[in-house]
Amino acid sequence: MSATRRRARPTRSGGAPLTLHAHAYADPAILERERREVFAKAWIAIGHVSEVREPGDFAAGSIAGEPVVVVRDETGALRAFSNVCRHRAAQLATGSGSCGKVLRCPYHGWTYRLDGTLAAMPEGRGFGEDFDRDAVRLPEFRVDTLGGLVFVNMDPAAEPLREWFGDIAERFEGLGIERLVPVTARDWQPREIMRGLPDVIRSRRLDDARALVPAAETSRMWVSYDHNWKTLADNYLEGYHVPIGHPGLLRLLDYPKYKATLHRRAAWIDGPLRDNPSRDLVERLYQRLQRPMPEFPEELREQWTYIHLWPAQFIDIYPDSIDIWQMHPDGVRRTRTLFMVFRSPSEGVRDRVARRLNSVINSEVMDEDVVLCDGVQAGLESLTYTRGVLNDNENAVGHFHDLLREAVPGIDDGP
Amino acid sequence: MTGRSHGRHDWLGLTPEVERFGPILVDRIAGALGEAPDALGEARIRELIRTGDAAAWLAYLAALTALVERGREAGVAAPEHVILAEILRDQYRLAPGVLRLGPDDEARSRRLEEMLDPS
Ligand code: FES
Ligand SMILES: [Fe+2]
Repeated sequence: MSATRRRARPTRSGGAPLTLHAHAYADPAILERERREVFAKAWIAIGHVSEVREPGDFAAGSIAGEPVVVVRDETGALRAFSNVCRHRAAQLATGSGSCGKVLRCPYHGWTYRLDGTLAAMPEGRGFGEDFDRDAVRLPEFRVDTLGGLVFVNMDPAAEPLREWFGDIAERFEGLGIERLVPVTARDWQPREIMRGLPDVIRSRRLDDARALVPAAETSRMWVSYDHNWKTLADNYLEGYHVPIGHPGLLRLLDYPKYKATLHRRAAWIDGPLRDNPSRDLVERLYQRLQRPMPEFPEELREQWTYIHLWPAQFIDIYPDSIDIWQMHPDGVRRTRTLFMVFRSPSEGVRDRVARRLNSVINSEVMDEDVVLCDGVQAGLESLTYTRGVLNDNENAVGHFHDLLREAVPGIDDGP
Repeated sequence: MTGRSHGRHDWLGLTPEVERFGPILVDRIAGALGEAPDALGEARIRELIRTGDAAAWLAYLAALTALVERGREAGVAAPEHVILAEILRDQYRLAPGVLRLGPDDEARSRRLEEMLDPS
Protein backbone atom coordinates (compact mmCIF):
# COMPACT_ATOMS: atom_id res chain seq x y z
CA MET A 1 0.00 0.00 0.00
CA SER A 2 1.42 3.35 -0.93
CA ALA A 3 2.10 5.72 1.92
CA THR A 4 0.02 8.47 0.33
CA ARG A 5 -3.08 6.33 -0.05
CA ARG A 6 -5.89 7.63 2.04
CA ARG A 7 -6.76 5.52 5.04
CA ALA A 8 -10.18 3.90 4.78
CA ARG A 9 -12.74 5.81 6.84
CA PRO A 10 -14.04 3.99 9.88
CA THR A 11 -17.62 2.91 9.26
CA ARG A 12 -18.46 2.05 12.87
CA SER A 13 -18.50 3.98 16.10
CA GLY A 14 -18.11 1.66 19.08
CA GLY A 15 -20.37 -1.16 18.00
CA ALA A 16 -22.74 0.99 15.95
CA PRO A 17 -22.45 1.34 12.17
CA LEU A 18 -21.97 4.87 10.89
CA THR A 19 -24.06 6.58 8.26
CA LEU A 20 -22.54 8.06 5.12
CA HIS A 21 -20.80 11.40 5.49
CA ALA A 22 -23.42 14.15 5.28
CA HIS A 23 -21.48 15.79 2.46
CA ALA A 24 -22.62 12.96 0.17
CA TYR A 25 -26.15 14.37 0.36
CA ALA A 26 -25.30 17.84 -0.88
CA ASP A 27 -22.38 17.62 -3.28
CA PRO A 28 -23.17 17.95 -7.02
CA ALA A 29 -19.93 16.14 -7.88
CA ILE A 30 -21.04 13.10 -5.89
CA LEU A 31 -24.44 13.17 -7.54
CA GLU A 32 -22.76 13.17 -10.92
CA ARG A 33 -20.70 10.13 -9.91
CA GLU A 34 -23.82 8.40 -8.61
CA ARG A 35 -25.50 8.95 -11.96
CA ARG A 36 -22.59 7.29 -13.76
CA GLU A 37 -21.42 4.70 -11.23
CA VAL A 38 -24.71 3.73 -9.65
CA PHE A 39 -27.69 4.39 -11.90
CA ALA A 40 -26.10 3.95 -15.33
CA LYS A 41 -24.74 0.57 -14.18
CA ALA A 42 -27.87 -0.75 -12.51
CA TRP A 43 -30.83 -2.78 -13.68
CA ILE A 44 -33.77 -0.38 -13.56
CA ALA A 45 -37.43 -1.42 -13.92
CA ILE A 46 -39.03 0.36 -16.86
CA GLY A 47 -42.44 -1.25 -16.99
CA HIS A 48 -44.64 -4.30 -16.68
CA VAL A 49 -44.43 -7.32 -19.00
CA SER A 50 -48.07 -6.86 -20.02
CA GLU A 51 -47.20 -3.50 -21.55
CA VAL A 52 -44.83 -5.04 -24.08
CA ARG A 53 -46.42 -8.36 -24.98
CA GLU A 54 -47.07 -7.89 -28.71
CA PRO A 55 -44.75 -6.77 -31.50
CA GLY A 56 -44.91 -2.98 -31.69
CA ASP A 57 -45.72 -2.57 -27.98
CA PHE A 58 -43.48 -0.10 -26.19
CA ALA A 59 -42.89 1.29 -22.70
CA ALA A 60 -40.88 4.46 -22.21
CA GLY A 61 -39.01 5.22 -19.02
CA SER A 62 -35.94 6.72 -17.49
CA ILE A 63 -32.73 5.70 -15.79
CA ALA A 64 -31.95 8.61 -13.49
CA GLY A 65 -33.05 11.05 -16.16
CA GLU A 66 -31.62 9.07 -19.07
CA PRO A 67 -34.56 8.46 -21.43
CA VAL A 68 -34.99 4.82 -22.51
CA VAL A 69 -37.65 2.93 -24.40
CA VAL A 70 -38.36 -0.78 -24.47
CA VAL A 71 -40.06 -2.26 -27.54
CA ARG A 72 -41.14 -5.73 -28.62
CA ASP A 73 -39.67 -5.98 -32.11
CA GLU A 74 -41.12 -7.75 -35.13
CA THR A 75 -39.32 -10.98 -34.32
CA GLY A 76 -40.89 -10.98 -30.86
CA ALA A 77 -37.69 -10.02 -29.04
CA LEU A 78 -37.62 -7.35 -26.33
CA ARG A 79 -35.19 -4.54 -27.08
CA ALA A 80 -34.19 -1.42 -25.20
CA PHE A 81 -32.99 1.76 -26.87
CA SER A 82 -32.09 5.27 -26.02
CA ASN A 83 -35.35 7.22 -26.25
CA VAL A 84 -33.45 10.21 -27.62
CA CYS A 85 -33.91 11.10 -31.28
CA ARG A 86 -30.60 11.37 -33.11
CA HIS A 87 -31.80 14.44 -34.98
CA ARG A 88 -32.25 17.04 -32.27
CA ALA A 89 -32.75 15.00 -29.11
CA ALA A 90 -36.53 14.90 -28.78
CA GLN A 91 -37.99 11.95 -26.87
CA LEU A 92 -39.37 9.42 -29.26
CA ALA A 93 -41.94 7.75 -27.05
CA THR A 94 -43.82 8.59 -23.89
CA GLY A 95 -45.85 6.33 -21.61
CA SER A 96 -46.72 2.95 -23.03
CA GLY A 97 -48.78 1.65 -25.93
CA SER A 98 -48.31 0.29 -29.41
CA CYS A 99 -46.27 2.09 -32.03
CA GLY A 100 -46.93 -0.38 -34.84
CA LYS A 101 -43.88 -1.06 -36.96
CA VAL A 102 -41.91 2.10 -36.38
CA LEU A 103 -41.02 4.64 -33.73
CA ARG A 104 -41.71 8.09 -35.11
CA CYS A 105 -40.25 11.15 -33.50
CA PRO A 106 -42.99 13.61 -32.58
CA TYR A 107 -40.74 16.60 -33.40
CA HIS A 108 -39.70 16.35 -37.07
CA GLY A 109 -40.84 12.83 -37.83
CA TRP A 110 -37.59 10.88 -38.09
CA THR A 111 -38.82 7.32 -38.26
CA TYR A 112 -36.95 4.40 -36.70
CA ARG A 113 -37.45 0.69 -37.23
CA LEU A 114 -37.94 -1.47 -34.17
CA ASP A 115 -34.30 -2.58 -34.43
CA GLY A 116 -33.22 0.99 -33.75
CA THR A 117 -32.09 1.81 -37.29
CA LEU A 118 -33.34 4.90 -39.08
CA ALA A 119 -35.88 4.00 -41.76
CA ALA A 120 -36.26 7.49 -43.17
CA MET A 121 -36.65 11.13 -42.31
CA PRO A 122 -39.05 13.66 -43.81
CA GLU A 123 -37.45 15.82 -46.48
CA GLY A 124 -34.44 13.55 -46.41
CA ARG A 125 -32.83 15.25 -49.39
CA GLY A 126 -32.46 18.35 -47.26
CA PHE A 127 -29.61 16.71 -45.33
CA GLY A 128 -27.39 16.60 -48.41
CA GLU A 129 -26.21 13.79 -50.62
CA ASP A 130 -23.40 12.69 -48.34
CA PHE A 131 -25.36 12.30 -45.15
CA ASP A 132 -25.13 8.61 -44.23
CA ARG A 133 -28.55 7.80 -42.91
CA ASP A 134 -27.74 4.10 -42.67
CA ALA A 135 -25.22 4.94 -39.95
CA VAL A 136 -27.92 6.47 -37.75
CA ARG A 137 -29.22 4.18 -35.06
CA LEU A 138 -30.49 4.43 -31.54
CA PRO A 139 -27.97 3.27 -28.93
CA GLU A 140 -29.12 -0.10 -27.64
CA PHE A 141 -29.14 -1.23 -24.02
CA ARG A 142 -29.59 -4.55 -22.30
CA VAL A 143 -33.08 -5.62 -21.36
CA ASP A 144 -34.47 -8.58 -19.43
CA THR A 145 -37.48 -9.48 -17.31
CA LEU A 146 -37.75 -10.64 -13.74
CA GLY A 147 -40.90 -11.39 -11.79
CA GLY A 148 -43.17 -9.58 -14.23
CA LEU A 149 -41.09 -6.43 -14.57
CA VAL A 150 -38.99 -5.30 -17.51
CA PHE A 151 -35.55 -4.10 -16.50
CA VAL A 152 -33.00 -2.16 -18.55
CA ASN A 153 -29.29 -1.76 -17.92
CA MET A 154 -27.13 0.76 -19.80
CA ASP A 155 -23.90 -0.97 -18.83
CA PRO A 156 -22.80 -3.65 -21.30
CA ALA A 157 -20.52 -5.12 -18.63
CA ALA A 158 -23.12 -5.53 -15.89
CA GLU A 159 -23.93 -8.99 -14.55
CA PRO A 160 -27.07 -10.59 -16.01
CA LEU A 161 -30.25 -9.40 -14.28
CA ARG A 162 -30.89 -12.53 -12.25
CA GLU A 163 -27.34 -12.76 -10.92
CA TRP A 164 -27.27 -9.03 -10.28
CA PHE A 165 -30.14 -9.24 -7.80
CA GLY A 166 -28.78 -12.56 -6.58
CA ASP A 167 -30.53 -14.25 -3.72
CA ILE A 168 -33.66 -12.09 -3.85
CA ALA A 169 -34.51 -12.93 -7.48
CA GLU A 170 -36.40 -16.11 -6.67
CA ARG A 171 -38.33 -14.54 -3.80
CA PHE A 172 -39.18 -11.63 -6.03
CA GLU A 173 -40.54 -13.93 -8.72
CA GLY A 174 -42.82 -15.56 -6.17
CA LEU A 175 -44.78 -12.31 -5.86
CA GLY A 176 -46.69 -13.04 -9.06
CA ILE A 177 -46.45 -9.47 -10.36
CA GLU A 178 -46.61 -10.84 -13.91
CA ARG A 179 -50.21 -11.91 -13.27
CA LEU A 180 -51.24 -8.37 -12.26
CA VAL A 181 -52.02 -5.43 -14.55
CA PRO A 182 -50.91 -1.81 -14.38
CA VAL A 183 -53.49 0.55 -12.96
CA THR A 184 -54.67 3.08 -15.53
CA ALA A 185 -56.92 6.11 -15.51
CA ARG A 186 -59.65 3.91 -16.95
CA ASP A 187 -59.83 1.99 -13.69
CA TRP A 188 -61.82 4.72 -12.01
CA GLN A 189 -64.88 5.58 -14.01
CA PRO A 190 -67.60 7.59 -12.23
CA ARG A 191 -70.13 4.80 -12.73
CA GLU A 192 -67.90 2.36 -10.93
CA ILE A 193 -67.38 4.75 -8.06
CA MET A 194 -71.14 4.98 -7.72
CA ARG A 195 -71.37 1.23 -7.75
CA GLY A 196 -68.78 1.16 -4.97
CA LEU A 197 -70.84 3.45 -2.74
CA PRO A 198 -73.10 0.81 -1.16
CA ASP A 199 -70.13 -1.11 0.18
CA VAL A 200 -68.82 1.99 1.87
CA ILE A 201 -72.24 3.04 3.17
CA ARG A 202 -72.89 -0.42 4.54
CA SER A 203 -69.81 0.02 6.65
CA ARG A 204 -71.94 2.67 8.42
CA ARG A 205 -70.09 5.98 8.23
CA LEU A 206 -68.86 8.11 5.42
CA ASP A 207 -66.91 10.97 6.85
CA ASP A 208 -63.89 10.60 4.66
CA ALA A 209 -65.06 11.25 1.15
CA ARG A 210 -61.51 11.06 -0.14
CA ALA A 211 -61.87 7.33 -0.08
CA LEU A 212 -64.21 7.57 -3.04
CA VAL A 213 -62.62 10.36 -4.95
CA PRO A 214 -60.23 8.94 -7.47
CA ALA A 215 -56.84 10.45 -7.86
CA ALA A 216 -55.90 10.98 -11.47
CA GLU A 217 -54.53 7.49 -11.78
CA THR A 218 -52.37 6.54 -14.69
CA SER A 219 -50.00 3.65 -15.07
CA ARG A 220 -47.10 6.04 -14.41
CA MET A 221 -47.26 8.91 -11.98
CA TRP A 222 -44.37 11.31 -11.36
CA VAL A 223 -43.97 13.26 -8.13
CA SER A 224 -40.96 15.46 -7.28
CA TYR A 225 -39.45 16.06 -3.87
CA ASP A 226 -36.94 18.64 -2.67
CA HIS A 227 -34.53 16.13 -1.15
CA ASN A 228 -31.43 14.27 -2.16
CA TRP A 229 -32.49 10.84 -3.43
CA LYS A 230 -30.60 9.15 -0.59
CA THR A 231 -32.52 11.16 2.02
CA LEU A 232 -35.73 9.66 0.67
CA ALA A 233 -34.20 6.20 0.33
CA ASP A 234 -32.84 6.18 3.89
CA ASN A 235 -36.26 7.15 5.16
CA TYR A 236 -37.97 4.32 3.30
CA LEU A 237 -35.45 1.76 4.46
CA GLU A 238 -36.00 1.82 8.19
CA GLY A 239 -38.87 1.24 10.59
CA TYR A 240 -37.09 2.81 13.56
CA HIS A 241 -38.92 6.09 12.90
CA VAL A 242 -42.38 4.53 12.58
CA PRO A 243 -43.50 4.82 16.25
CA ILE A 244 -42.38 8.44 16.41
CA GLY A 245 -42.94 9.69 12.88
CA HIS A 246 -46.07 7.72 12.01
CA PRO A 247 -47.76 6.91 15.31
CA GLY A 248 -50.99 6.21 13.44
CA LEU A 249 -49.31 3.42 11.53
CA LEU A 250 -48.74 1.60 14.81
CA ARG A 251 -52.46 0.91 14.87
CA LEU A 252 -52.06 -1.12 11.70
CA LEU A 253 -48.53 -2.49 11.83
CA ASP A 254 -47.30 -4.99 14.38
CA TYR A 255 -44.17 -2.97 15.03
CA PRO A 256 -42.16 -5.43 17.14
CA LYS A 257 -42.29 -7.82 14.19
CA TYR A 258 -41.20 -5.17 11.65
CA LYS A 259 -37.93 -6.55 10.31
CA ALA A 260 -35.52 -6.06 7.40
CA THR A 261 -33.63 -8.98 5.87
CA LEU A 262 -30.61 -8.04 3.80
CA HIS A 263 -29.76 -9.46 0.37
CA ARG A 264 -26.91 -8.89 -2.05
CA ARG A 265 -28.42 -5.82 -3.71
CA ALA A 266 -31.73 -5.68 -1.95
CA ALA A 267 -33.54 -5.59 1.35
CA TRP A 268 -36.77 -7.38 2.20
CA ILE A 269 -38.82 -5.72 4.93
CA ASP A 270 -41.68 -7.54 6.64
CA GLY A 271 -44.38 -5.35 8.18
CA PRO A 272 -46.96 -7.70 9.70
CA LEU A 273 -50.45 -6.21 10.14
CA ARG A 274 -52.27 -6.29 13.47
CA ASP A 275 -55.59 -8.11 13.49
CA ASN A 276 -57.46 -5.87 15.95
CA PRO A 277 -59.64 -3.16 14.37
CA SER A 278 -58.20 0.35 14.23
CA ARG A 279 -60.17 3.18 15.84
CA ASP A 280 -59.60 5.36 12.76
CA LEU A 281 -62.48 5.13 10.28
CA VAL A 282 -60.43 4.98 7.12
CA GLU A 283 -58.07 2.41 8.60
CA ARG A 284 -60.96 0.33 9.95
CA LEU A 285 -62.70 0.51 6.60
CA TYR A 286 -59.55 -0.66 4.95
CA GLN A 287 -59.23 -3.53 7.39
CA ARG A 288 -62.82 -4.52 6.68
CA LEU A 289 -62.84 -4.23 2.89
CA GLN A 290 -59.34 -5.38 2.13
CA ARG A 291 -59.01 -8.94 0.90
CA PRO A 292 -55.94 -10.37 -0.77
CA MET A 293 -55.81 -10.45 -4.54
CA PRO A 294 -56.32 -14.02 -5.73
CA GLU A 295 -52.83 -13.88 -7.25
CA PHE A 296 -51.27 -12.88 -3.93
CA PRO A 297 -48.80 -15.24 -2.23
CA GLU A 298 -50.28 -17.02 0.78
CA GLU A 299 -47.43 -16.28 3.17
CA LEU A 300 -47.63 -12.48 2.69
CA ARG A 301 -51.39 -12.09 3.18
CA GLU A 302 -51.22 -10.87 6.76
CA GLN A 303 -48.61 -8.22 6.22
CA TRP A 304 -47.38 -5.26 4.24
CA THR A 305 -44.05 -6.08 2.69
CA TYR A 306 -41.49 -3.65 1.36
CA ILE A 307 -38.62 -4.50 -0.96
CA HIS A 308 -35.67 -2.31 -1.80
CA LEU A 309 -33.97 -3.13 -5.08
CA TRP A 310 -30.66 -1.36 -5.58
CA PRO A 311 -30.20 1.41 -6.17
CA ALA A 312 -33.49 3.24 -5.67
CA GLN A 313 -36.46 1.04 -6.46
CA PHE A 314 -38.93 0.44 -3.68
CA ILE A 315 -41.70 -2.07 -4.01
CA ASP A 316 -44.73 -1.89 -1.73
CA ILE A 317 -46.41 -5.24 -1.54
CA TYR A 318 -49.92 -4.87 -0.20
CA PRO A 319 -52.47 -7.67 -0.34
CA ASP A 320 -54.67 -5.35 -2.43
CA SER A 321 -52.05 -4.00 -4.83
CA ILE A 322 -48.35 -3.82 -5.53
CA ASP A 323 -46.59 -0.64 -6.46
CA ILE A 324 -43.10 0.43 -7.39
CA TRP A 325 -41.72 3.73 -6.25
CA GLN A 326 -38.58 4.63 -8.12
CA MET A 327 -36.20 7.51 -7.60
CA HIS A 328 -34.62 9.56 -10.34
CA PRO A 329 -32.18 12.14 -9.02
CA ASP A 330 -32.70 15.50 -10.67
CA GLY A 331 -30.25 17.58 -8.64
CA VAL A 332 -28.57 17.22 -5.26
CA ARG A 333 -31.72 18.48 -3.55
CA ARG A 334 -34.26 17.40 -6.13
CA THR A 335 -35.61 13.93 -6.84
CA ARG A 336 -38.27 12.94 -9.33
CA THR A 337 -40.05 9.80 -8.24
CA LEU A 338 -42.09 7.46 -10.40
CA PHE A 339 -45.04 5.42 -9.16
CA MET A 340 -46.30 2.41 -11.03
CA VAL A 341 -49.23 0.59 -9.44
CA PHE A 342 -50.37 -2.94 -10.27
CA ARG A 343 -53.68 -4.56 -9.37
CA SER A 344 -55.44 -7.84 -9.90
CA PRO A 345 -57.07 -8.18 -13.32
CA SER A 346 -60.14 -9.51 -11.51
CA GLU A 347 -60.36 -6.58 -9.10
CA GLY A 348 -63.94 -5.74 -8.12
CA VAL A 349 -65.43 -2.51 -6.83
CA ARG A 350 -64.91 -3.49 -3.20
CA ASP A 351 -61.24 -4.16 -3.92
CA ARG A 352 -60.90 -0.82 -5.67
CA VAL A 353 -62.32 0.98 -2.70
CA ALA A 354 -59.92 -0.93 -0.44
CA ARG A 355 -57.03 0.00 -2.71
CA ARG A 356 -58.14 3.60 -2.64
CA LEU A 357 -58.32 3.54 1.17
CA ASN A 358 -54.84 2.06 1.27
CA SER A 359 -53.59 4.93 -0.84
CA VAL A 360 -55.29 7.47 1.47
CA ILE A 361 -53.57 5.87 4.48
CA ASN A 362 -50.19 5.69 2.81
CA SER A 363 -50.35 9.20 1.36
CA GLU A 364 -50.72 10.46 4.89
CA VAL A 365 -47.65 8.48 5.86
CA MET A 366 -45.83 9.99 2.89
CA ASP A 367 -46.88 13.51 3.94
CA GLU A 368 -45.39 12.82 7.36
CA ASP A 369 -42.20 11.51 5.78
CA VAL A 370 -41.83 14.58 3.57
CA VAL A 371 -41.83 16.85 6.62
CA LEU A 372 -39.24 14.62 8.29
CA CYS A 373 -37.08 14.54 5.17
CA ASP A 374 -37.27 18.34 4.84
CA GLY A 375 -35.70 18.54 8.28
CA VAL A 376 -33.13 15.84 7.57
CA GLN A 377 -32.01 17.44 4.31
CA ALA A 378 -31.42 20.78 6.07
CA GLY A 379 -29.70 18.99 8.96
CA LEU A 380 -27.35 17.09 6.66
CA GLU A 381 -26.21 20.43 5.29
CA SER A 382 -25.66 21.91 8.74
CA LEU A 383 -22.14 23.04 9.66
CA THR A 384 -22.40 21.09 12.90
CA TYR A 385 -23.35 17.66 11.56
CA THR A 386 -21.06 15.16 9.85
CA ARG A 387 -22.49 11.70 10.24
CA GLY A 388 -24.73 9.62 12.47
CA VAL A 389 -25.01 6.12 13.93
CA LEU A 390 -27.42 3.35 13.08
CA ASN A 391 -29.69 1.27 15.27
CA ASP A 392 -30.28 -2.45 14.62
CA ASN A 393 -33.66 -1.43 13.20
CA GLU A 394 -31.80 0.65 10.63
CA ASN A 395 -29.81 -2.28 9.27
CA ALA A 396 -31.16 -1.78 5.75
CA VAL A 397 -29.89 1.82 5.78
CA GLY A 398 -26.44 0.55 6.78
CA HIS A 399 -26.53 -2.01 3.98
CA PHE A 400 -27.57 0.67 1.48
CA HIS A 401 -24.71 2.90 2.61
CA ASP A 402 -22.24 0.02 2.30
CA LEU A 403 -23.43 -0.60 -1.25
CA LEU A 404 -22.88 3.08 -1.99
CA ARG A 405 -19.37 2.95 -0.51
CA GLU A 406 -18.65 0.01 -2.77
CA ALA A 407 -20.11 1.62 -5.91
CA VAL A 408 -18.75 5.15 -5.42
CA PRO A 409 -15.35 4.93 -3.74
CA GLY A 410 -14.64 8.06 -1.72
CA ILE A 411 -18.32 8.91 -1.29
CA ASP A 412 -17.73 8.78 2.44
CA ASP A 413 -14.66 11.03 2.58
CA GLY A 414 -16.35 14.35 3.11
CA PRO A 415 -15.31 17.63 1.49
CA MET B 1 -47.78 8.83 -27.00
CA THR B 2 -45.94 7.99 -30.16
CA GLY B 3 -47.73 6.45 -33.08
CA ARG B 4 -50.35 4.78 -30.91
CA SER B 5 -53.40 6.16 -32.65
CA HIS B 6 -52.72 8.01 -35.81
CA GLY B 7 -54.19 11.48 -35.67
CA ARG B 8 -56.56 12.37 -38.50
CA HIS B 9 -54.15 14.96 -39.84
CA ASP B 10 -50.84 13.17 -39.25
CA TRP B 11 -50.56 12.01 -42.86
CA LEU B 12 -50.02 15.64 -43.87
CA GLY B 13 -46.56 15.37 -42.32
CA LEU B 14 -45.64 13.14 -45.26
CA THR B 15 -46.40 15.67 -47.97
CA PRO B 16 -43.64 18.34 -48.00
CA GLU B 17 -41.00 16.52 -49.99
CA VAL B 18 -43.52 15.30 -52.53
CA GLU B 19 -44.99 18.77 -52.85
CA ARG B 20 -41.55 20.30 -53.29
CA PHE B 21 -40.07 17.91 -55.85
CA GLY B 22 -43.02 15.90 -57.16
CA PRO B 23 -44.44 18.21 -59.84
CA ILE B 24 -41.20 18.76 -61.72
CA LEU B 25 -40.19 15.10 -61.51
CA VAL B 26 -43.64 13.96 -62.65
CA ASP B 27 -43.49 16.44 -65.54
CA ARG B 28 -40.21 15.14 -66.79
CA ILE B 29 -40.96 11.44 -66.43
CA ALA B 30 -44.42 11.77 -67.93
CA GLY B 31 -42.87 13.86 -70.68
CA ALA B 32 -40.33 11.15 -71.44
CA LEU B 33 -43.17 8.64 -71.60
CA GLY B 34 -45.29 10.90 -73.78
CA GLU B 35 -48.02 11.04 -71.10
CA ALA B 36 -49.99 14.05 -69.84
CA PRO B 37 -48.76 14.80 -66.28
CA ASP B 38 -51.85 16.76 -65.19
CA ALA B 39 -53.54 14.04 -63.17
CA LEU B 40 -50.47 13.74 -60.93
CA GLY B 41 -49.09 17.25 -61.08
CA GLU B 42 -48.97 20.29 -58.84
CA ALA B 43 -52.70 21.01 -58.89
CA ARG B 44 -53.43 17.48 -57.72
CA ILE B 45 -51.04 17.69 -54.78
CA ARG B 46 -52.43 21.03 -53.66
CA GLU B 47 -55.91 19.70 -53.93
CA LEU B 48 -54.97 16.67 -51.81
CA ILE B 49 -53.36 18.77 -49.11
CA ARG B 50 -56.42 21.00 -48.94
CA THR B 51 -59.13 18.38 -49.00
CA GLY B 52 -57.60 14.93 -48.94
CA ASP B 53 -57.11 12.29 -46.29
CA ALA B 54 -54.70 9.45 -45.56
CA ALA B 55 -56.42 7.06 -47.97
CA ALA B 56 -56.33 9.61 -50.78
CA TRP B 57 -52.63 10.21 -50.12
CA LEU B 58 -51.91 6.50 -50.36
CA ALA B 59 -53.85 6.33 -53.61
CA TYR B 60 -51.76 9.22 -54.91
CA LEU B 61 -48.52 7.48 -53.90
CA ALA B 62 -49.78 4.36 -55.68
CA ALA B 63 -50.32 6.36 -58.87
CA LEU B 64 -46.84 7.89 -58.60
CA THR B 65 -45.34 4.44 -58.04
CA ALA B 66 -47.11 3.19 -61.15
CA LEU B 67 -45.62 6.10 -63.11
CA VAL B 68 -42.14 5.23 -61.85
CA GLU B 69 -42.67 1.60 -62.81
CA ARG B 70 -43.89 2.52 -66.30
CA GLY B 71 -40.84 4.73 -66.65
CA ARG B 72 -38.57 1.90 -65.65
CA GLU B 73 -40.18 -0.49 -68.12
CA ALA B 74 -39.78 2.09 -70.84
CA GLY B 75 -36.12 2.39 -69.94
CA VAL B 76 -36.26 5.93 -68.55
CA ALA B 77 -33.02 6.02 -66.56
CA ALA B 78 -32.84 9.76 -65.98
CA PRO B 79 -31.77 11.08 -62.54
CA GLU B 80 -35.35 12.34 -62.11
CA HIS B 81 -36.56 8.80 -62.26
CA VAL B 82 -34.24 7.64 -59.47
CA ILE B 83 -35.04 10.65 -57.31
CA LEU B 84 -38.77 10.12 -57.55
CA ALA B 85 -38.29 6.44 -56.76
CA GLU B 86 -36.25 7.40 -53.67
CA ILE B 87 -38.83 9.89 -52.54
CA LEU B 88 -41.54 7.28 -52.87
CA ARG B 89 -39.46 4.67 -51.10
CA ASP B 90 -39.09 7.11 -48.19
CA GLN B 91 -42.81 7.84 -48.25
CA TYR B 92 -43.50 4.16 -47.69
CA ARG B 93 -40.86 3.99 -44.98
CA LEU B 94 -42.31 6.98 -43.17
CA ALA B 95 -45.96 6.14 -43.69
CA PRO B 96 -46.27 3.40 -41.00
CA GLY B 97 -45.64 6.12 -38.43
CA VAL B 98 -48.84 7.91 -39.40
CA LEU B 99 -51.16 5.47 -41.13
CA ARG B 100 -51.70 1.80 -41.78
CA LEU B 101 -50.36 0.36 -45.04
CA GLY B 102 -52.49 -2.21 -46.84
CA PRO B 103 -50.95 -5.30 -48.48
CA ASP B 104 -50.86 -3.56 -51.89
CA ASP B 105 -48.99 -0.63 -50.40
CA GLU B 106 -46.57 -3.01 -48.72
CA ALA B 107 -45.98 -4.66 -52.09
CA ARG B 108 -45.33 -1.26 -53.73
CA SER B 109 -42.92 -0.44 -50.95
CA ARG B 110 -41.02 -3.70 -51.51
CA ARG B 111 -40.83 -3.15 -55.28
CA LEU B 112 -39.40 0.35 -54.76
CA GLU B 113 -36.83 -0.95 -52.27
CA GLU B 114 -35.74 -3.60 -54.76
CA MET B 115 -35.66 -1.18 -57.65
CA LEU B 116 -33.26 1.07 -55.75
CA ASP B 117 -31.17 -1.64 -54.14
CA PRO B 118 -31.35 -4.81 -56.24
CA SER B 119 -28.86 -6.64 -53.95
S1 FES C 1 -35.70 15.72 -32.96
FE1 FES C 1 -36.50 13.90 -33.69
S2 FES C 1 -36.96 14.35 -35.70
FE2 FES C 1 -36.10 16.17 -34.98
FE1 LIG D 1 -41.77 6.86 7.06
